[in-house]
Amino acid sequence: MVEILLVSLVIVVTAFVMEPSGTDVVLLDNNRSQNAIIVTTEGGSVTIDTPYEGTSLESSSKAPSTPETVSDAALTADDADTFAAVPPPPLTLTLYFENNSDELTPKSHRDLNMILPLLRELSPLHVAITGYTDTTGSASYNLALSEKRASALRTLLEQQHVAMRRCQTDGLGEYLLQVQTPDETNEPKNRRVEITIR
Amino acid sequence: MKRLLLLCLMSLQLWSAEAVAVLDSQKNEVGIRRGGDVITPKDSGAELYPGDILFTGKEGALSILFNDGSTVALGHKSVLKIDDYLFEPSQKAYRFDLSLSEGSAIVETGKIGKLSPESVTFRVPEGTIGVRGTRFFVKVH
Repeated sequence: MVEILLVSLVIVVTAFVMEPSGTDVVLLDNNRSQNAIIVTTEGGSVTIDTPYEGTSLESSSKAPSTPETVSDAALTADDADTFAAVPPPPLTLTLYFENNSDELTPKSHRDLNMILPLLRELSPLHVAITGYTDTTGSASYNLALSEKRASALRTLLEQQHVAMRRCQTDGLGEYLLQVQTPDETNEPKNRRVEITIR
Repeated sequence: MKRLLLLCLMSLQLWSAEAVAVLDSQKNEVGIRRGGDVITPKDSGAELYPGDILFTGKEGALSILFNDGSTVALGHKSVLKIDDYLFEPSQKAYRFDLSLSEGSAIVETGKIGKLSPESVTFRVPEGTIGVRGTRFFVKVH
């Protein structure tokens, strides 16, 4: 992996960096447990897994500097505009399905009906609909089932006249389980679609 | 050679097929360089493709939303290229290659960062940044 990264460094263009050149990289907080970066130059590599620690790169041949804590104030003083441009977190809605089916559970049907007026209010929506399954059945079967679930929900929204500016449906099968279970485990909470609305 | 050309054409075809991201918001002077053209998007929602170069003026800023839910915010006087991007869960095919040659960016990886963090490469002039499900800030000066 590192070799591949190093090969790619050769083609970086530095022609139009006029000021004293260099790059600062800071890990921010993503409110999740999984958060780390690996910063690599030809001179070496550092891993940062503590939010608000940063490293500076002086040149491609020098190793990244030892990570140091960066104050929030220092970060935002110069780059308030960049922080202001960060998209607000999306509205996420999770709906659940009957076993081995692309039919919503009665409760999720009711939840969807309740939220429809709000969705119409927010339309035209920019939505991403991702389907998931539990771990019963084969991985490839579940991938197809999860795609069916996502499409079924898209059809439901269209039938209910929710206008969409952009709608993307994907299925991730038994990846990214909501509840971690062993294989071949019936788990209603994993039979779901997540609707991300921006 | 012929086969190579054909491959190139095929990949161009693929590239023109589907947008990999949309421009989520923009402020003041922003542009997209695509091949030999510069597009000045009228409103947000412009579709973005691999190979696109996004740039902002000295008061400009923008944000990009990728198909897997990854987001990138770009500050003023910045230049960011979408080198390569692929989000095809059904084929387990993921690629997320961006390069920032100038300016500032805040990157938050989405599903690709969780499913396949090793597919994420963010290049800066001096090196690269790899991730493990992440939100980070970069400034090139």
